Amino acid sequence: MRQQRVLVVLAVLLAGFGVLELRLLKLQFLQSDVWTRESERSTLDFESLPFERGWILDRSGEPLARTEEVRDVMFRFRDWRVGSVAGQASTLLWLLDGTRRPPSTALAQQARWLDELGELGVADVDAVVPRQRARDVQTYLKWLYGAPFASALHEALKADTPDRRRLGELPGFQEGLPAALQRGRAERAALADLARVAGLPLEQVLATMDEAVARADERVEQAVGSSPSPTAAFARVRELHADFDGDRATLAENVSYDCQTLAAVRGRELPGFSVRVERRRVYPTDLQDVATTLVGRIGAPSPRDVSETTADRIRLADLSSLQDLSAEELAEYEQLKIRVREIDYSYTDERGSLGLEAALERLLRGKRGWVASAPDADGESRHVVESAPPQRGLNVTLTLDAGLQRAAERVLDEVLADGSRGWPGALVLLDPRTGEVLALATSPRPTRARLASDWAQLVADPLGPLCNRAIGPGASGNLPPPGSTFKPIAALAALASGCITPSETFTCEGSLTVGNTVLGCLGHHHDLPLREALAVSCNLYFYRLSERAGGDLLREAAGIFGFGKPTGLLEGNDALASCGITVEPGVREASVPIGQGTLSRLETMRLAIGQAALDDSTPLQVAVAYGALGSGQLVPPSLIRAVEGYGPIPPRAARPLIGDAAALAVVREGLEAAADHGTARNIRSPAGLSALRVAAKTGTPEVGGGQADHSWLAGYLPRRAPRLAFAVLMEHTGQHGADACVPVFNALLEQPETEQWLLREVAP
Amino acid sequence: MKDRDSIFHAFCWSVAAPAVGLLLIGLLFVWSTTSRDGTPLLARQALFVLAGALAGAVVMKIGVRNLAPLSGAFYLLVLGLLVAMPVIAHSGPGLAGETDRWISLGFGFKLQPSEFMKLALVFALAWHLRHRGVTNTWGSYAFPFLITAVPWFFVMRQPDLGSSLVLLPVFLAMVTVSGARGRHVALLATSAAVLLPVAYFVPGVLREYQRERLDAFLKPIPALMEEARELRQQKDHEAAQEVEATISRLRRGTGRQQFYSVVAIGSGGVIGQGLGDGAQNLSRRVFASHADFIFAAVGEEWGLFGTSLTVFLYVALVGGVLAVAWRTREPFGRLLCVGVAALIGSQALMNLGIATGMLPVTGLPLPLVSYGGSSIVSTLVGLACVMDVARQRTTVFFES
Repeated sequence: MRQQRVLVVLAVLLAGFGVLELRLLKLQFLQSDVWTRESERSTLDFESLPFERGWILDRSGEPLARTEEVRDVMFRFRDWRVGSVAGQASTLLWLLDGTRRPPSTALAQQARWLDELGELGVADVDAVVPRQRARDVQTYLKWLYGAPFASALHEALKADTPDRRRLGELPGFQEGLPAALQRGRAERAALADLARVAGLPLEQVLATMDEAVARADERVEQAVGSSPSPTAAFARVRELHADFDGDRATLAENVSYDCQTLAAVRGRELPGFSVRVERRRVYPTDLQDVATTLVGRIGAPSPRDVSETTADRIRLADLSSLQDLSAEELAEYEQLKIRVREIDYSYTDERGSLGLEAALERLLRGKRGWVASAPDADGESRHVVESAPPQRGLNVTLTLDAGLQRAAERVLDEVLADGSRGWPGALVLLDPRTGEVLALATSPRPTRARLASDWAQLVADPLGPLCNRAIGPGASGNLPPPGSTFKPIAALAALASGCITPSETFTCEGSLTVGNTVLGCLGHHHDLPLREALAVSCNLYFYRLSERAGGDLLREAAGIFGFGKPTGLLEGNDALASCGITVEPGVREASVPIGQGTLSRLETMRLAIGQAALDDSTPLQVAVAYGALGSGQLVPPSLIRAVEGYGPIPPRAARPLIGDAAALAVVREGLEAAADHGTARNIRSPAGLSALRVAAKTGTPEVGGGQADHSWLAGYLPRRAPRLAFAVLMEHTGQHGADACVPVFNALLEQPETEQWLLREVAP
Repeated sequence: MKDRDSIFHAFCWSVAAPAVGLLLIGLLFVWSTTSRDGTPLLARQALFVLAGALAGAVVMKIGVRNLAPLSGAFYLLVLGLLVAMPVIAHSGPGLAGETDRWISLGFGFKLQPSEFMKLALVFALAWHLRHRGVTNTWGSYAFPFLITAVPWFFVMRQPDLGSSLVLLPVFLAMVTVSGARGRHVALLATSAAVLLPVAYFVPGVLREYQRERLDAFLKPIPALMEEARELRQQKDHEAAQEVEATISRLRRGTGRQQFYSVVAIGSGGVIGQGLGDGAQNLSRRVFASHADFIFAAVGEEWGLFGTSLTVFLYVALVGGVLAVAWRTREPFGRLLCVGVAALIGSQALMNLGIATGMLPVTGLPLPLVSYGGSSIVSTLVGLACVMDVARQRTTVFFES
């Protein structure tokens, strides 16, 4: 016998254990956090908690868009088959013979089945294979008939000699049966009540339940594949059911609070049924169709959102599978976990896709909450490991006055609906002291219902209902020239530079020929000083003025009055930026750049009367310019008054105008004269406020290309320390501004909301 | 001079102590993995230990000297049971999910002959090789090989591939100690290493689920995860998604048991998550966590300390048994101890290798630790024989 050979055996075994120990060191010391992450991933269950989207409010706090709690009744097959008598009985029968009996049948037959199960033999239960199925059968029998019966059955099955008894003969069955029957009755009654309070016929509820169960069965069948042995096959089916049966189906939508209460109070009798509370974006009925395109709408996440979410998830999966994480990677991992749980857009999320809903998405969107739970020691229930509450989105208060907005839109809609007129247009009202926009109305405009459902048609509509003519072009795609509404600005430029004096006069001959072009005037006027020229809107005067002033001077003045670039209503808003608020695209402002280069004599003349290409402007720009004329400084407009958590937004920085107070006074007098006896003389002071005087200017720019002229009216009120600046645009009317726009403005003044506002804000 | 008949004085602590340690670990973790299941198996495990201790005491009383001549009869008896199993035994889902065969002893206790076959083979080989040993001729290997191969075949047909594989190291160890030439042993070992892959490819040798397990081992999930990661780094997202789909299919299927065993062990870290508190244990992801995969619970709940302690105890036990083999002058006794050491050692190595993901999954209990009566009783009987040899190490029972 080789004694030394013993050492060989020892050496081999030691080597084996050595390798094993090295492996353990690797797994448990070096790679421990990789496996901990994987363990976490496989045992923690995450449930998302929805957040509430921020509201959009008008300046007085009236909601233009809010969230509402909506309640749906949900059905979850897995909870039903595990918790309710009908579910347990039908599942038990399915385990025994493989036939699925739908919930509707189960609820009808449950009493009979409970009775008939007593006829089953102990030997039948013993014969169930594979073992997992047998265990499940016994578990369901326990749930149905109670623990004493289950122990008796267990004893009977363990015995060596085959037991010839029926289940009904075993101790515990006769006690458990009536309890089960009573439970079943109570559950059926509770379900009937639930259906009634939810406002649905019971048959419909049952049909939905049947569908849900059939769907789960179908999915399991498709996924099951082949398995090596009956044991493995059953294990697979079982596992698939555990997964698919957990899906929820909607039984009833938008149910009452009573329904929610019922489901909560009688929850024990309604296993598998729950009321899910969701928060949905809702537009209050009375303000539903107000500023629809401006407020915008909600849609599915954009492709960019989806790709960002996917990228985050991929990166998170990458980091989870890495062996070693550096400190930065670990920090990134933690951050990504939070982003994916709380912030990223999931496929079912909503996000603003148009208007303010889109532009203010970052403010309005909240953060999801979540609950991470792990299994309890008993393996059945779960406990919360970690959780984070949802964060509500921020409420945004706009500068808009809902009443004025509604009045302005109503007036525009009347024009559109009027057969003899039918013009699209826009109306802007703002406060010249602060730049706050009080109304930003456009027509045509889709109703909220159409905005939600008729998108393709709206896009294709030749009238361009999706255009916001207050801040951008209409259906033609071109911004309107301001026409004669530009004249006060030209006048001020000339006065300020001294190339014209207020008393200087020019004679209007009705037309002027420059080269091959004939430039006209609306009428024959005689000698006109500046004020009168403004009042009657004499073109010839301004042609002469333009020759004196020169194109560069006029262009510079246009720039000072805010033409040539967007006003920065939302994007480019310095006040918002200073608060740290970022705005996304959604409310787009258009503008035409003023440009450099030299202007010909013809172009300069056109420029002076607001007909040059570089003049093209939006009603908002015009209103801002007139607000500046009225108040003496230019305050850029803003649409957001306050954001929850950021406080009130400060007004934007005011910019000085050109010229001194005297020059401005002259121009103002011209505007007042226009309203008194000039082109805007038909403006009526609002009833009950006859002392309120308006200063205004009309405009009738030619558009060319065979299309009719536009019409403008712009001005401010009251004449001293104005509180309101306005611009009215009517597209392609073919009429003078006086004829087309003044009646619209008068109609606006007569609206009850306008009167109320004026009385409240201006009269005293 | 010790009182040879007093069992208490003959207690060989170098063998008994590690064995007791391992039994205690087994009891603790059978409790941890089953106490919440509704079928607490702790009491049964304790009963098995008691039965094993009793059987061991009986064996030590009778003495190896008196039992040795019965080796052949013992071997044939167990082999006969094994062969007759399909006829006389119950069959049903076993601990690892496949169909097992066992003989019912009443009260729900099962006897698994394959466990006792291993011990019976040790006895038979030791008896046959005690004088002659093996020599230079291949012919001298024939009989030992035969008495190993026949039970191997029948054990494998139980099916119990794991236990059948343990017979091979036992054969090699005992043949080595009984004088085989190094060359021969090396040849035998390498041919076994070659034959096993052949068995994989020859249809009918391995059953479907066994083949699946090997597949899952060859492409283990961590390697697939690494592959997917690399594909993503190369921006090949489609291919990466395919690999990830394979991973999630594996996670649900065959590779799952072993994967989660590794997860459990790895996530135990150095100090573990606490007895009874392991996350994987609680979520019951590792099937048969009280039996073949009990080491997963040890790793998860006692961490590196626990696993290293277990490894240390096995080393100590095997070392103690081999020390007895070294010191004894009785050839049969020496071979018996070597056989027992090889049995326990290789079975432990295989089970731990499986649990840590180094070997493909075959069903195999962890000696003295896993839940299971036949395994504990047969192991304790084997250790009792070793202790009997130890206290009589100066005696030679059988003269050549």
